[in-house]
Amino acid sequence: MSQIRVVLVDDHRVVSRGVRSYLESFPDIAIVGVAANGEELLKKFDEWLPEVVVMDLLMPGGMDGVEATKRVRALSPRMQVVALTASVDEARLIGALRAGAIGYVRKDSEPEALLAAVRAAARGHSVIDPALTGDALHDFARG
Amino acid sequence: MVYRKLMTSTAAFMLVLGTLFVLLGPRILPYLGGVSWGELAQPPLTVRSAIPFTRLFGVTLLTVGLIAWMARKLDRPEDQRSIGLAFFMGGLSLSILALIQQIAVWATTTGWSLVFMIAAFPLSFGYVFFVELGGADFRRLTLSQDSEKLRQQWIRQLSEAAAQQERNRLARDLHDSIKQQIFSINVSAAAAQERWASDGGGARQALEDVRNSAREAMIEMEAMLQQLRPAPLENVGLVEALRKQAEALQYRTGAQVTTEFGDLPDSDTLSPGAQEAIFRIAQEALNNIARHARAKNVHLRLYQQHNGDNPALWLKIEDDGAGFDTTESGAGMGLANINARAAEIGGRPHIESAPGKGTNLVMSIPIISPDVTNIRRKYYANQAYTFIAIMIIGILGRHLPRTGDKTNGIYLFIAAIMLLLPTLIHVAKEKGLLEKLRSTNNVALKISLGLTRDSYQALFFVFICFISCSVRQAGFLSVILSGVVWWSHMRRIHRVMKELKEKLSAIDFKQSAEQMWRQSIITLTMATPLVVTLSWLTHAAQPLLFIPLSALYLGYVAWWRYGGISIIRQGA
Repeated sequence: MSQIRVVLVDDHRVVSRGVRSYLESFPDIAIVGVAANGEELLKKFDEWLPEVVVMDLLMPGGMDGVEATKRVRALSPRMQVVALTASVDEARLIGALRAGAIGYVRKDSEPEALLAAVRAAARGHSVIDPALTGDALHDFARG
Repeated sequence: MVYRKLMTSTAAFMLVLGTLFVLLGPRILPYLGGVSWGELAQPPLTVRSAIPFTRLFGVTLLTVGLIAWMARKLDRPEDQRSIGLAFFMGGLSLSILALIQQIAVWATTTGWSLVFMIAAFPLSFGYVFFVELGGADFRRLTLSQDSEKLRQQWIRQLSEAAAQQERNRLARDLHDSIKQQIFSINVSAAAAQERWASDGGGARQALEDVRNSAREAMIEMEAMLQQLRPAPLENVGLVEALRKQAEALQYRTGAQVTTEFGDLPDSDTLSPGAQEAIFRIAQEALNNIARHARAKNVHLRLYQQHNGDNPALWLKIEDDGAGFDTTESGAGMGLANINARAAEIGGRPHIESAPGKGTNLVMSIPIISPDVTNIRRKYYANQAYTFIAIMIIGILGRHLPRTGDKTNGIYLFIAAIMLLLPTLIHVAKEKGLLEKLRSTNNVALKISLGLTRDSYQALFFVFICFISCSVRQAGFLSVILSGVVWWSHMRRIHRVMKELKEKLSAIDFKQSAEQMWRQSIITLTMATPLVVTLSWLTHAAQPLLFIPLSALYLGYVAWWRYGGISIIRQGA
């Protein structure tokens, strides 16, 4: 079975380090790159050619996660984005989904939720954090 | 209310006097005393030729009256102070000129009444300006009661807004930091579990990550708790607190954060609350760096700079991050907070930044020095001496027997010595002090420097006018003398400006250049019409030297002033 090529985008080093170490423990996942911000991801995108990008939504200065999601989705529509954020802001969730994210995981979820979301995203399936699927998704559906 | 009454009475007085001068011309000019109404049917040549100039003088008085009338309703203390200062300076120039003119035209008998009339202006405006309004030069040190009340109110509103903002910020910080660490602990622990059986080395590494993240979370938590606790009140606490904030920033952003602390001054030599304000300002700046800068290196310095006996405390925070456009209006609440905090302790923050060029925060916190009081006293004494000296010279001049040019020569020599003596004594006594003042970054001392400079300026000005008017027979010699004195004066100003430009921050320099520029304009506009009249009445061209020389001086100061502005633009 081929591995899922994953790129992590997060300005918090500690998070990238932990997530990398966790996801790499599974043989079906390969972390091909780690970026600290959206600009870095776009620069190295052709080199990394990820299938799934795990994207922090709140990043300081310049491009935030929602904008970066929009840009990479435009570059490669087959590649999927899983938003990973500490924020509980529903507007941000809707923003991320509109920008083309397929999964949404909060940082207070269990690590397994992230793993499941990455695997689902690689198959083109959506996993949204259950804590946020109520009104927010209705809003999203209504557009 | 004293201000308003004074402005109204000034307006009334000026308008009446101006109308009289315009309508009646030289008939009311006391210098030509003795010209009766009857004689004016066939006025002598001197009176006829004085007509346009007395009318010009009348128009000037009318203009001043109108300005006073329009400015009487100003209610902001800062505006009142500016107008008060303008009238004080203008009145000072007018009365000095009137005095000199009276001395120059010995023979007249009624001129002293005009001198005293005009001298009433600087006296009354000086009283309102210095006593009631607090004095523009010292506004940072002694605020008037009204503005102090406004300031307190402003600070209270600001602190209420700040409290709400603080809560929002803490919530955001909890998201930004601790939550990330805990998530990281969680995933690293999960990684250790996954790798336990198959990859012992990987599991150990993951557990190491768990411990690291827990340690970092602890430090972040400590830094955050510190923000909630009352700020440090002593130097030791301040240094420790700043160190912790720097460390937390390092963990949060991965940037290399270095700190450097010099010997700090005793707490009681700083304004009350200085430590707290410094801590909050640094905290705000570090938070901005964490949130926006993406910096790789951050350097924080807190140190005392010794300039002779008068040190100032400096806070510098530099980063090599994204930077921002300082001219953009949305530069943020963070900067407004920094400015407000700094204002509480008389600090002067200066922020240099440009997109992609990092950000540089520099702030000097003044240490109020007893020298200021001393110099202020000397300044007043100096001004008072000038007045008294001219009065005595004038009275002596009227009572000395006029036996010919010889007496005049001796008399002029005595008068010149009397005028120059205090300046020479000052220069000799304060040479060391001036050197100190020139190299200072301390706001309070900078003000003293301004005062000392002004007092010399006033003395030189009076001296030149005196020479120009009195030695009218000497003609060419007086032109040369005035030129030499002015040249040395300009050189001195040039030296001071150069020193200021080198030693002060761009903003401080701009402000002091602007202050000089304003004073020059006031002096020039108020004195010029009178000098023209004076020249005509004394039949001497020398007083007219004042105009090109002042224009030269004004242009020179303006050149520095605009030079100062372009420096700021380049630096930004």
